[in-house]
Amino acid sequence: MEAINLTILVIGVLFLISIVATLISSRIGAPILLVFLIIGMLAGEQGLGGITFNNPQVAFLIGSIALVIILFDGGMRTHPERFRVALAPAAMLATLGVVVTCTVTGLAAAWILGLHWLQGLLLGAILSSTDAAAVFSIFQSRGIRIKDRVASTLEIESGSNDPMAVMLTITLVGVLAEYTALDWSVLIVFLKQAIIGGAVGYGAGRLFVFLCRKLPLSFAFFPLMAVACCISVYAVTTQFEGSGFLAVYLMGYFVGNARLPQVLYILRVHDGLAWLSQIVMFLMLGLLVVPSQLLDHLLPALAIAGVLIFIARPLAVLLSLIPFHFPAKDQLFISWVGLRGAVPIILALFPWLAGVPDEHLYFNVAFVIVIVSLVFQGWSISPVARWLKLEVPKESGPDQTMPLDAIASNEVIEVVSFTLKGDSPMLDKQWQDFTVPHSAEFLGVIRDGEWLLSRDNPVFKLKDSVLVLCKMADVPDISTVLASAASSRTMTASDFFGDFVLNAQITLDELDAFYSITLPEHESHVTLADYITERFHRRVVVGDQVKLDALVLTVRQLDDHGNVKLVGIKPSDS
Amino acid sequence: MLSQDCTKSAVLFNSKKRILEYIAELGHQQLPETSEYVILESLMARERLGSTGIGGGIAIPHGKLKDVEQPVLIFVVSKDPIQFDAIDNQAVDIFCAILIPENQCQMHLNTLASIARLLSKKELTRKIRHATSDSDLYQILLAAQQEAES
Repeated sequence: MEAINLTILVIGVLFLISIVATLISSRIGAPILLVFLIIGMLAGEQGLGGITFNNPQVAFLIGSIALVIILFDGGMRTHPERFRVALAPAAMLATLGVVVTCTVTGLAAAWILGLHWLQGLLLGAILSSTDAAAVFSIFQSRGIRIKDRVASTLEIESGSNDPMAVMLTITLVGVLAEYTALDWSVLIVFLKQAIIGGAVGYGAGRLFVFLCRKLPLSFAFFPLMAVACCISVYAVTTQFEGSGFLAVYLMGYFVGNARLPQVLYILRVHDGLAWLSQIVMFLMLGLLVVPSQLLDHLLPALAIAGVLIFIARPLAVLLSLIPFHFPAKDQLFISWVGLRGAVPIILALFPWLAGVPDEHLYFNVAFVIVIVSLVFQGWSISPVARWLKLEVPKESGPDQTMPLDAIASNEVIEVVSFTLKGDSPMLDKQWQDFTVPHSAEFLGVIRDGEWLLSRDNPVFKLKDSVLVLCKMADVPDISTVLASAASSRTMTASDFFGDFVLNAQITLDELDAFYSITLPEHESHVTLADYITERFHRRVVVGDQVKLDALVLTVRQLDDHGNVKLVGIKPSDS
Repeated sequence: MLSQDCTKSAVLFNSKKRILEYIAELGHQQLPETSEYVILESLMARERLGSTGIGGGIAIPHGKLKDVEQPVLIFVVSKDPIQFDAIDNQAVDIFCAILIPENQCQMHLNTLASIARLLSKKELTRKIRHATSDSDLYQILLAAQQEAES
C-alpha cells in the first residue's frame, strides 16, 4: 500500500513541477517540451529522483495514446483556409520529403556509425518525421504570428508526416528482424496504409459529428467521447494495417471544423488534454533514457544531427517544394523548423521491442538528436522568423471569449469582452460612437465588479470590461474596432503594412497615374490583385510583399476565397 | 507647412464629398492659380485608389497638383464624425489633408507617414478634438509640431 501511495505522490509532484516549469520556460524562451524532458531526466535513475523506469512496452503504450490525443487536437485546430495555400506543399513534404530525409540521414548515419546501410536507413526513418507536438506548441505558445503559407505548411506537414515515418520504420524493422523481404511490395503496403488511414479518418470524423447531433448526452461527456473515439479509431485503423495517426489527424480535422455547439467545448477540454499528453509523454521519455548511455554515441549522434539539420532537411524541403515556387526565405524557414520531438524517440522503441540488434543504439542516438533539435531549432524559431522577416503583426482579439455552447444554434455565438487600457480606442466614448458589424449586441460594462446596463449608455472608462454578444465570425471585425492596439514590443500594423491602403482591384496604370512608378511594360493593365497573385504563384497570404519602384506593397486582407482585397502601401526606405 | 488660415475646428459637414469640397475650397485660397475643381479632383483621384482613412477617426487625404512649388497642409476637424470608408470602418472627424507638388508623391509618402505617426498619439488627438476655436487648434498643432521636431 505504501509503495502505491508513494508512486501516486511522485506522479503528482512531477506533474506539479512540470506545470510550474512552463512559467520558467516562457520566461527564458526555452522550448517547453525540452523542459519536460529535462525534468523527466532529473527525476530518473541517474538524476535527483532516482526513479528507475526501463519498460519499453509501457512507454510505447503511453506514448502512442499521448500522440493520438495530440494529433487529434492538432487536426481539430487545422482550419480549411489553411489548406488552401498549404495542403499540396505539405503533402509533398510529408511524403517525398520524409523519404529524402530518411535516405540522406540514413546513409550518412550508416557511414558515421559504421553500420550496415539498412541499419542506417532504419535510423534515418526513425528521425524522418517532424514533430507535431513540438511544432504546434511553439506556434501556439510563443505569441508570434508567422506568415500563413509557412505556418500552415509546417503545421499540416508535422501532422501528416508521422504516418510516413511510422510506415518506413515498421517496414525496415521487419526487414532487419528478417521476416519480410525488401521489394516492391513495400510500396503497396505504404499505399494501403495511407488509403485505409485516410478513409477511416474521414468516415470516423463524419460519424462522430453525426453522433454528436443525435446523442442527447450531457455536455460534459462529449470531450470524453472524443477521446474514446479517437483512441478506438487509432486502434481499429492500425489493426486493419492502415495508418492510425493519419486517421486520427483527419478525424480531428472533420470534427473541429463541423458546425457543432459541442465543438467549442471539446476544443477547450482538449487543450488541457493535449498539454497533459505532452507532459506525460516527455516526462516518461526523460525517465526512460539513461543519461550516461547517451554519452556512448555522443559525437556520432551530434554529427548525424548536423547532417539532418544542415543537409538532409534543407535538401528534402528544396526538392519537395520545387513545384510550388515558394520564396527562398519561406523555404529557408521551413528547413530550419524541421523540429524533431517525441515521435523519433517513440519510433526508436520499435527496434527495441522487435529485438533488432543494437536496439539501444537507435534509442540513444535518436534521443541526443531530438535534444539537439529542440535546443538549437526550437529555441531560435522566433529570432529566425524575425530575421527572415516572416513575422506579421498579431491580430488583436478580445480579452475574454465565452461561447454560448450550451444552446444549439446554426452559427456559433459568443460573448466577448474587451478591457480598456490606456491606449484603447473606446476610452471616454459610448457604444453608439462605433460602427460595428450588424450582429454585435452591446451587453453593458463591468466596472469595479458592478454591471452597468447597456440601456444606460455608460461612457467607457479605464479598466472597464465591455461585453459584446456577437457571431464568432464577426469577432475579428469587432476586435479591429474595439481592442487595444498590440503592446509596443510587438510590431504594429502601420509599421508593417504602411499607413495607407489601396483597393486591390485598381490597375497598375491607375497606381502609376498617382505615384509615377516605372512599370513593367506589358503589365500596366493588370490589377494589383492579379499582379501580386501572379508573383506568388497563386498562393498569396497576408504579409506578402512586392516592391514597385520606391513603393512597398503588402497584402493586408484577403477575401473568403483567398483573393487579395486590400493592399498596404509604404515607402521602401522606411 | 501649417498655416492659421488652413486650420479649422468644429466644421459642420455630413458627407465625404462635402468635406473634401471644403478642403479644396481652403486649398484654393492658398493656391489662387489652381481651381477648386482641380484640387477636389486630385483628392478624389487618390480616394478612388483606396480610402485615406487610416483608422481611429483620422484621415489624411492627399492629392498631387501641377505648377505648385510647396506642399500645402489643410487641417480640419469635423464636429460630427463622417463616414469615410476608413480601414477600420469607423467614421472620421480629424482630416489632415496635404496637397503635394507633382513628382514628389513618392518622396512625400515619408511626410505622410510622419503625420500619421504624430496623429497616432492618443493624447494629441484628444486635445485636437477638444479644441475650442480655430486659433486654439492651430496652437495645439504648432506645439505638437515643435515637440516632434525637437
